[in-house]
Amino acid sequence: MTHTAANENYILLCDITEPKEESGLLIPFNDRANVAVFKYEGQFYVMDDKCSHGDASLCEGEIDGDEVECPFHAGAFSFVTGEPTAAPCTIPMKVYRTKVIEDQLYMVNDDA
Amino acid sequence: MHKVYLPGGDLFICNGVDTLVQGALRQGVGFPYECNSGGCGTCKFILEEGEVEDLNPDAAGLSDRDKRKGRKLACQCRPLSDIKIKVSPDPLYTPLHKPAIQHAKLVSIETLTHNIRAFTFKPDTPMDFLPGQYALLTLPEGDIRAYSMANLADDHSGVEFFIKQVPGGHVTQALFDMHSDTDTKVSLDGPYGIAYSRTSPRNIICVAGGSGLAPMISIARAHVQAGTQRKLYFFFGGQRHEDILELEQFRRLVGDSTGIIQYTAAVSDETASECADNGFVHQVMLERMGQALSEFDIYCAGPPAMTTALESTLHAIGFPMEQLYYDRFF
Repeated sequence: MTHTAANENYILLCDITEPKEESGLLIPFNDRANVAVFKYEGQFYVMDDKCSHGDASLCEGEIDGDEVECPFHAGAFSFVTGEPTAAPCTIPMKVYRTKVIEDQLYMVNDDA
Repeated sequence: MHKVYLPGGDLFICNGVDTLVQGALRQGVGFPYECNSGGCGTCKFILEEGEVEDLNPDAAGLSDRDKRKGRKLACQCRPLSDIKIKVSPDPLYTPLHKPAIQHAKLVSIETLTHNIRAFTFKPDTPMDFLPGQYALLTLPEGDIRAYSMANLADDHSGVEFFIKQVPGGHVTQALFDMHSDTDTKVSLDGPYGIAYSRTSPRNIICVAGGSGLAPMISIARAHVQAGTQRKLYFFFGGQRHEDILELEQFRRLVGDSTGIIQYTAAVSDETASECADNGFVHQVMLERMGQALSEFDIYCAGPPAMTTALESTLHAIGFPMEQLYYDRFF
């Protein structure tokens, strides 16, 4: 597999055939926070995976439109904006821009 | 009495008066909860079999989707039959002291600031609790409010609440009209809350706003009494100088005769003075404590605007959120 991303701030996540509309896809990292990839109406969205309310993986939550519910206390976030949409979640989640290059999905690491 | 069956076959018994949260905690079941008043949404559950009475179907803690999916709030529901529910008990919420209801008598009132008074109630039997916890106080007229204890369980004085007079609030007015020499009896239910002080090697920051002073004072009193090597930085904020405690008053209140606690007051609506910094208390804390916050445990209590702002800021700067302790109230 060739990494053709010209920009060093692109982080390779997966092949574009891997994310499904019905659940989040966990992308684990050793050197940074894990992220979750969501697919909604054909678009890809990337958000940190660990819920801002507690130590839960949002990839394990139920999808409802453009929102994901936390499996711990049924709080919810928009994975498009990262904004909390149901109690008890109150802190926005970090979301990332995405880029598709040659059928590979990348997230843009704006912190780098 | 009704049986409440949990996933996996465990069960607890709930009487006809208690909510599901109260019934579970009284028997040592770690039912997820925080505010006990329908606001925070932590105690959501799904009713699979049986019938409940929903005391507040429009509670703020439930979204439209929650209602669509049949979720309810366990702090607002009483069982009307044996029931089976879907929820995940969590050891984090298992009470170290199981809450119980008892009668109590008002024994003293002390003025702290122009609008905060310390009320001490003596229950029939001493209530065990941890610094930072709260109790539900039922007044003779039937109103119920959650207040945090400011004292320590082992000082045998009863339970002490710091109550801020709310303009136009009939509950606080009823309290402020009470006199300790009359035979005023109330009902106390507690302890509750998960924002209690934890044993840890880290230094401590306490951030208190308004009537959030009480649980932070309890933690500071425990710190002084323990005489540990850990450092404690205490921040207390109000709008004006009349809202805050001066250093000497603070030290007297927590029994800190040698000045082991670093105390800073903040006022948001007046200019700085030798007694107080200018700014919102959480901002003053962030400015004073600098960047090495991850070396601290942070406890906070106060108005939702303050706790939410502090929580968001700490999350944004990468603070380890498991070291932040507070109960959400609305």
